[in-house]
Amino acid sequence: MWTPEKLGISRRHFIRFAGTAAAGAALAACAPTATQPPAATAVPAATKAPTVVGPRKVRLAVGGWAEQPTKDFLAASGFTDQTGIEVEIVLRTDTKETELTRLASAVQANTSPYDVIDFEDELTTSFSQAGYLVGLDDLLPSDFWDDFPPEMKAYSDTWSAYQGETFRIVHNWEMPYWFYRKDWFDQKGVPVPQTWEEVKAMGEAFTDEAAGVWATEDGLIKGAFLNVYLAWITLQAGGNPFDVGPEYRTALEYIYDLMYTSKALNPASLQKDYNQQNADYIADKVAFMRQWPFFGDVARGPDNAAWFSEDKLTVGLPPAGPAGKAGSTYAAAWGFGIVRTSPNLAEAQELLQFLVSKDAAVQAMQAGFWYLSARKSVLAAAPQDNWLVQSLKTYTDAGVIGVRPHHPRFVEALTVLEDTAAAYLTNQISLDESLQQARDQLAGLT
Amino acid sequence: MALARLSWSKLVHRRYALFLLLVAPAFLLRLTTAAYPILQTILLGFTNLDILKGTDEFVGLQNYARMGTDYGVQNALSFTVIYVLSSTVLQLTVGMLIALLLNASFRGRTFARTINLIPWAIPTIVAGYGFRWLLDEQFGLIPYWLFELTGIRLVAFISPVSARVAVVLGHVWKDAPFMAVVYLAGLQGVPQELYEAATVDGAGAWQRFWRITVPLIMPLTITMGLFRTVWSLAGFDLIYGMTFGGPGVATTVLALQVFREGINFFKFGFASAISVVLLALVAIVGIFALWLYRKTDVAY
Repeated sequence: MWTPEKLGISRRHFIRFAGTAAAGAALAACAPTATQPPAATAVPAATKAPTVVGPRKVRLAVGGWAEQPTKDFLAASGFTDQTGIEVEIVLRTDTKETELTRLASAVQANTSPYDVIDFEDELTTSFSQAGYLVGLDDLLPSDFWDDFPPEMKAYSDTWSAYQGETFRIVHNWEMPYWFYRKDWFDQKGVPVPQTWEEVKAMGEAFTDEAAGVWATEDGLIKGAFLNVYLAWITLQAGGNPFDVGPEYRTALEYIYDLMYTSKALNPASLQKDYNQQNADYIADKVAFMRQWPFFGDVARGPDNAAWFSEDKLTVGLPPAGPAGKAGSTYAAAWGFGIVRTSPNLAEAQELLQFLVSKDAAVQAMQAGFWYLSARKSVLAAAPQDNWLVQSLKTYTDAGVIGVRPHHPRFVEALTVLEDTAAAYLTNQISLDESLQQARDQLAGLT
Repeated sequence: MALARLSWSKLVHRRYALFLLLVAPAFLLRLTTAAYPILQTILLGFTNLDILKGTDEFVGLQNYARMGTDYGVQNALSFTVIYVLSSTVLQLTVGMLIALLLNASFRGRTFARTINLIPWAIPTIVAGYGFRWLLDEQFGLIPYWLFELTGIRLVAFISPVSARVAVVLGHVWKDAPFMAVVYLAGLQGVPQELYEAATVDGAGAWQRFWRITVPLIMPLTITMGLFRTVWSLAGFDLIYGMTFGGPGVATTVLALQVFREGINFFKFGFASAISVVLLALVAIVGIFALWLYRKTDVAY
C-alpha cells in the first residue's frame, strides 16, 4: 500500500501538488483552443448551402383541453389548403409557472418550442415585459377593434398590451358567474342578494354551522385562488387591490365580516381550491357562490346527473358593492401571441392574422366554447339557447364587467396580497399590519 | 522545496499518476455537479439577476440585508427550524416505536413490515394533496372522526397553529416508516447475548431498552437524524400540496421560498441568497452531527 510518506513527500506537499494539477487541468479545459474559430466570424453568404424549399410549417401551442377543437376548427377552415402552411398543434403545459420556465429557457437560447401560443393573463404580463413576444398591431386591419365591445377593448388595453403595443389577441373571455340555489331561495322566500349588505344578511338566512351549511363559499387557498376573490371584491369596492388603497381596506373588512361576524362566508374557504368548493356546492352545503364558468360544465356532467337541475344552478348578476354595478365582476382571458424567437416568424404571423379574423373566430367558437368571447361577431353567432352564452350576454348587456385589476409584476404582487391578506383573515396580524406589509412589499417590486 | 525535488517521472514511477487518473473522474464529477453549482449560487446571491426584469448587477450584500426585513423570509426561516427539528425528532421516535413492534415475534410480521412502507412509497406531492382532502372540513375523514368523537369541528388550515401541526404530522406519517425500516436493521444487528446477559442480571425491559438498545443504535440515530434533517430542509413538496405555505406564510419553509422567488418570479439573485442561507443551515447541522457522531463511542 502506498502512502505519501513512503514516496518521500509530506501530505501537505502532496495535496498542494494534486490541487495545482487539478486547477491546471481545469484552466486548460476552459481556455479557448487554437482550433476554435473566432466567435464573431460571419459565414459568407456565398458559402451557404442552397436552401431546399419544403412545406411551410408553423407550430401552434394550446392547452390539452383545446387540442381537439383547435384541430377540428383548423381542418374545417381550410387554412392549410389556402396558404400551404401546415399547422402542427403542440401541447403547452397546463400551469403558467411551468410554461414561463419553459419559454424563458428557450428564449435565452434564441429558440422556441412553438411559434404561436395560446396563453393566459399572467403569462401575457410576464412575456410582454420580458420582450419574449412580437408586437401585433401592424398585423391587424384598421377596423379590427370595432368588432369588440368596449369592455373587451378596455381589458385588452390593460392585459394584452405593454407600452402601447398589443402582444396578444383574446379569443376566450370569461368571468366568474354568480351561481345560486333558486330552489333554496324560493323555499325560504328570500330574494337573491343584490348588494353587499344583502349578502351579509344571507348568513342568518342560510348558514347552519352545525350542519356544515353556509350561505356562500369560495376557493381561497393560496396559489392565485385567494387573489381572484380579493380582486373581485376590491373591484366591487371601486379600486385595484394592488394600490392597497381605501377600497382594498374596505374589501378586506367586508370579507372578514362575511367570515366572522355575519357568518355568510365559510372561513374554511381559505383552505379550499375550486374542486373542493365545487364539491361543497354539489353536496348541498352552499346557497350561492362566485365561480368560473367551468363549474357549469362540472355540475351538468354525467357524474352529477342525479343531483343536477336548473334551479340548483341558476346564474344571477353579482351583488354590487360600494362602487355600483359597473365593476361587479371582471373577465379574464386567453389569447394568441407570437414568440419573438420563433424560427417560423412569417408563417406564425400569417397564422395569427387568420386566427383572429372575424370568420375564423366564429368558426373556432362553433368548434368549441373554448373560443367563446363577447366579441360581437362571435356572440352573435353563438347558440342562444346555451346557458353560458346566455350568461355571457346577460352580463355584457347589464354592464357589470369591469377591467381585471392589473399590476406590472402581477405574479409577485398577487403573492404579496395573498400572504398578507390571508394572515389578516386568519387572525395572525391586524388589518393595519396587513395593509402596511402589503404596501411595503409591493413598493419593493417596482 | 520538497515539491521542487519531485520530478514528474518519479511521481509516475511511484504510481501518483495512476492515483490521479483514478481520482480524476470522481473529482471532476463533483467539481461540475457540486462545487460549480454551489459556487455559482453563492456568486448569484451577490447579484440582482432577474430574468424577467432583465437586471444582472453586483449588489453586494443587498439580498442578505433584504432578507432581514422580508416578512416572508423571516417567517419561513423560523418555521423551517420548527418544522425540521420537530418532524425529525418525531420521525426518529415514531420510527423507533414502529421498529420495536416490527422486531417482535408475531404472526403476519412479514406482511406488517411490508405494509409499513406504503406511506413512504406514496409520492410526496400526492400525499400532500391527499392530506388536503383528508383534512377538508366538509368531506375529510379526520375532521369527521374528530367531530363524531368530540363534537369539535376541525378546520385545520385556517389557523396557523393547527396548519403547522398538520404539516409536521403529515411529514411524520410520510417518512417515519422509512426510519422504522432502518431502525429495524439496526435492532437486528444488536447481539442477542447482551439482552440475555442483562436479563440474567435482573434488568427489566425498560432498562434493557435504555441501557442496551438506545446506546447501540445511537450512531444510526445520529446518521439518520442528519439525513432526515437535510432532506427536510431541502423538501417542500408536502407543504406545497397541503397548504401552499399558508395560511398567510404560516407554513412556508425556506425551500418553498426559494422555489417561489426563483422559479415563479425568476429572481435568481434573491433566490440564490436564500439558498445560501439554506446551505449554511445544512452545513451547521452537518458539522454538529459529525461532532456528535465522533463523541458517540459504541463498543461491546
